[in-house]
Amino acid sequence: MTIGVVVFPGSNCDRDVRWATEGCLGLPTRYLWHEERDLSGLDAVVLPGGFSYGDYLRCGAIARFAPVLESLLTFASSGGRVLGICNGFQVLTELGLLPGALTRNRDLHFICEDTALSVVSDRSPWLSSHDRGSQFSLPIAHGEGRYHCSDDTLKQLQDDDAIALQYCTNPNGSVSDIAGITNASGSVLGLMPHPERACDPHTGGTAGRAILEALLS
Amino acid sequence: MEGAVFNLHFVERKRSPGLSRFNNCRSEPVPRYQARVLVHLRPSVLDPAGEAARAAASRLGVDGVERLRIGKAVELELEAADEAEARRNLELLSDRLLANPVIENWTLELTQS
Repeated sequence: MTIGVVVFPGSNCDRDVRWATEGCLGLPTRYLWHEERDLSGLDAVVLPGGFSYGDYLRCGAIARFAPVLESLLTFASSGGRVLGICNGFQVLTELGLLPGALTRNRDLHFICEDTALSVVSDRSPWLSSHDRGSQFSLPIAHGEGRYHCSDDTLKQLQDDDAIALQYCTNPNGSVSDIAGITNASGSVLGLMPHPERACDPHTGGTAGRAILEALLS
Repeated sequence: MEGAVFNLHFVERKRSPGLSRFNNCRSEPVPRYQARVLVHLRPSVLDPAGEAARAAASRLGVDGVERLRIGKAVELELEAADEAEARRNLELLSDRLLANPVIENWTLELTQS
């Protein structure tokens, strides 16, 4: 059982994720260079935070064309678990694995703070250890985290029970306070908060552990 | 260089003017087109940067700016067999790369150079 952490030029949370999964949780993890195509032997893939390809054009717009993501589409369609954190969430929407888009925060600020989250759906493996409606805090650190989608897409998300997490106090203007969503089957999760920054009790608590443990559960 | 770094799946065709007459047996130059793709946020999407700029306009003393939306202009030069092919390629680029249709619209201006 192994986790792959994709490394794009400009990723800057790849090592944090590996420290969290391997160092804190003891889950076998290896890096996955953006030019690799071979995902064999991997049971889950994480797209980490950062500024892939400098976030040129739009966040995640160029990362979408990386060879590793062509393989990721096949991996995801066969039910493999995929977790996109922050920039990784932006990449997943650009790639079309998750609906909607992430754009400039309502107040234009880069926001770096702990934020309270509410569990909307405990249906997916990512949040099955939480109770629906329960709350926990995770750090956020983004300038372009305002989730946007059409009314039809929002209804589809609600119908699919695919809204995973909402902000208790909306920091960035996201539609319906959305902080994280899954695909219809629940195997793919994208979220703006950083669970990997809340896994080490010495730095930031352990509230993020359950989401990362779900990679291999 | 950029193609190698970014793995974009198109090949930049650079042809020196001195060689083209040898490479083109019919001695017909490949038509070149100039294009400008304007990318703008959909009307339903909040544009906080535009709002901030609009507020600055009134601080400059320019009143009456009722709407200010910020977009992007992308200028391209490309070769294509004809205008229809150029337009097809540009539409593909605009839809799949330059704009994200979830939040953005685009318009295309195309001229032969």
